[in-house]
Amino acid sequence: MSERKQEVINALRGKGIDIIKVEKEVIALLRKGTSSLDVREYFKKILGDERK
Amino acid sequence: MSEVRVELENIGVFRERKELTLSRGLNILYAPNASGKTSLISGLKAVSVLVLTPDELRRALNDYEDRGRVKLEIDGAEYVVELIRRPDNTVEAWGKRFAEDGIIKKVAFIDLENKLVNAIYAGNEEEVKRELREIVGVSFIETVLTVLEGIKSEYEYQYQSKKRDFESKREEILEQRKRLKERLNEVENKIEKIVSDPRIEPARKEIEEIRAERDKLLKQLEDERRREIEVNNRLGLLEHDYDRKKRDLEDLKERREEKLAELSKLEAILISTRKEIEKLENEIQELEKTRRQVEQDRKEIGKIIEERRSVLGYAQCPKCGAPVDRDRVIQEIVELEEKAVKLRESLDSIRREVEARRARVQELKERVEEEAERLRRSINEMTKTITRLESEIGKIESSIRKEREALDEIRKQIEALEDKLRALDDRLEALKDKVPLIEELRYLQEEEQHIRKVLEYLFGREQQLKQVYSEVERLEELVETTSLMIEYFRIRLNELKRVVVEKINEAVLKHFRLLSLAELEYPVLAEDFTLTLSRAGGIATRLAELSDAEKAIFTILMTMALKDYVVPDFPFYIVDSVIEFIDDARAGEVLKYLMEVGKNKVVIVSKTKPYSGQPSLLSQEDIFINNIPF
Repeated sequence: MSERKQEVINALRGKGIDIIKVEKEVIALLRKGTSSLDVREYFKKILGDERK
Repeated sequence: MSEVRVELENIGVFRERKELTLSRGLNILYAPNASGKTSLISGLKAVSVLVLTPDELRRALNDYEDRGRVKLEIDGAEYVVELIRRPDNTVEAWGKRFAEDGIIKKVAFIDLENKLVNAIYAGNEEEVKRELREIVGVSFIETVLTVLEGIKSEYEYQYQSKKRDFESKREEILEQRKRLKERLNEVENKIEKIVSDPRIEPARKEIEEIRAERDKLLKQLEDERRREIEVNNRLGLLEHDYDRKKRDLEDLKERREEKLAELSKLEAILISTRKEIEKLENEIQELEKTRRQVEQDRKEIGKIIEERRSVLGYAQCPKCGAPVDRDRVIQEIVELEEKAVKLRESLDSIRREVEARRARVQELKERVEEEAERLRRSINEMTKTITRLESEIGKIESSIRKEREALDEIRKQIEALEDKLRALDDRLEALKDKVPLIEELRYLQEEEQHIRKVLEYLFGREQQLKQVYSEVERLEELVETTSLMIEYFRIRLNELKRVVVEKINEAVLKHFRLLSLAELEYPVLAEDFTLTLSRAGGIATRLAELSDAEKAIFTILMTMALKDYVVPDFPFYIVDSVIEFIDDARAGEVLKYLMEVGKNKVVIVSKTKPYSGQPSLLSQEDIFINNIPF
């Protein structure tokens, strides 16, 4: 694993985001046929910027 | 060797219920066209993967039926999918599938609906590349990057515009404050000059008293105005929070209404399902009755056979003394045994029917009742959230009330202080005749008071601006987080491209026998996902230049390699029709190979006729000769 990748993972972890888990979840969503719009909503939720 | 059971009801060409048993290893389906080979595969696809196209769903359901069902039993687990035709002729599927992964369809179901298969056959290398990128997940990461970049630019735009807004407002305020403070200094100096002017001597004592009182009042007024600003800001935040929670509450109530409507529809279905269950239970009872009757008949026939056999050893019947006609008795026994066999078959069939109906009852109960339960749970959750929100809104309302009361109180105070100031002004005004300078002093004091009021107003705006700044900071944080996510997925994309090509080429090499059957050389995939096909001796060739048989072998090779990489645990690998393009000699080799590599999987190959070539290559236990009528 590249040093920079680990740094990015740690920086995101510091912000409360487990990016490895996020990657798994989002790829599973796309493999299930989820639309880009729903993927966008998923990321907004991860970023804590949900619109109700 | 564990078996795999598939039950199809109104699927493809099959109407009513059809049961098929598959084995681990190679299963060859051979039957003429329209016998049901593709129907079985469509059914398996429907129960195996979640993402089917509208055409695939329509083709899976029998043209004359509105409901169909597929049940798969594998490794002790059961998966059931129901297909329902809607009034607009679209078909919906729901139930428990083997997997939710849409990629499975692309690498495990090798039929003429498969986009990769079609692209290979069309010799369309660009399309093949696009499909490969999707199958291995590269295009998914690219989609993620596009989505994240869109989100980032949205945040950046918001951040820049809010920041600009904040900065220009702050500058404006600072500029205004600077100007006002300068003017205030001037005014204060002028007042000071007047107060120290000898011309005010006749009323100096009173003027100084009024000024001291005035300074005290101005100080109190300043404190009250600051309090007014603070309370006003708190009130603004509370009202904002109140509006947001109110909107959430309304939205939630609306969604709960929708769920309640859905539940009431489902409850109506539940009633009809209960009737259906009742009907099935009555049928079970009837069948049980028939079963008991048939068993009784069998026992009686058994007794009669015993009786007939017991007289065979005698010349005369030991009971009635009549002479025994052996041929007639033997004939009777044969007829009775035939009848007993028929009764046993009928009993078995009744037992199967009873079991099937019981399973259907169970399934109906689970399906509708589980769905209703899920809805009830969701409604309960919503009700809990609604109660929580209502309580929070109640608390906010009470805080708003308190703050408004405090604000009213402060405003009253301000009014009272302003009245007092006016009274002092009147006292000063009364001294005008004694000291003409008083008029100028009054004018300056009014200006001073006005400047102080505007300065307090600017202080309030500055406080509000701090709230805008917290939004700017939040957006800055979001831009930073999104940038990090983009960087992570870019690193992953590069890693994936490198690793995937390597892994797929390794998997291709594992199936080198197929590679040589297609008369191709290793490697197959270049780093940018283009196919690099070459013949013996490294002579470059193109997909479009391969024969149909070579394309078929190459299709099987590529999909097996991809399946090994993306979904190694999926138990099925199905080749429908594609094998027909391969000549018998090589088809035999391909089948032999599939039999070897597919020992722990369920490999299904369908074709319209058995091979004339080398059937001995396939052992009987590995061959599934279907019982599709033809």
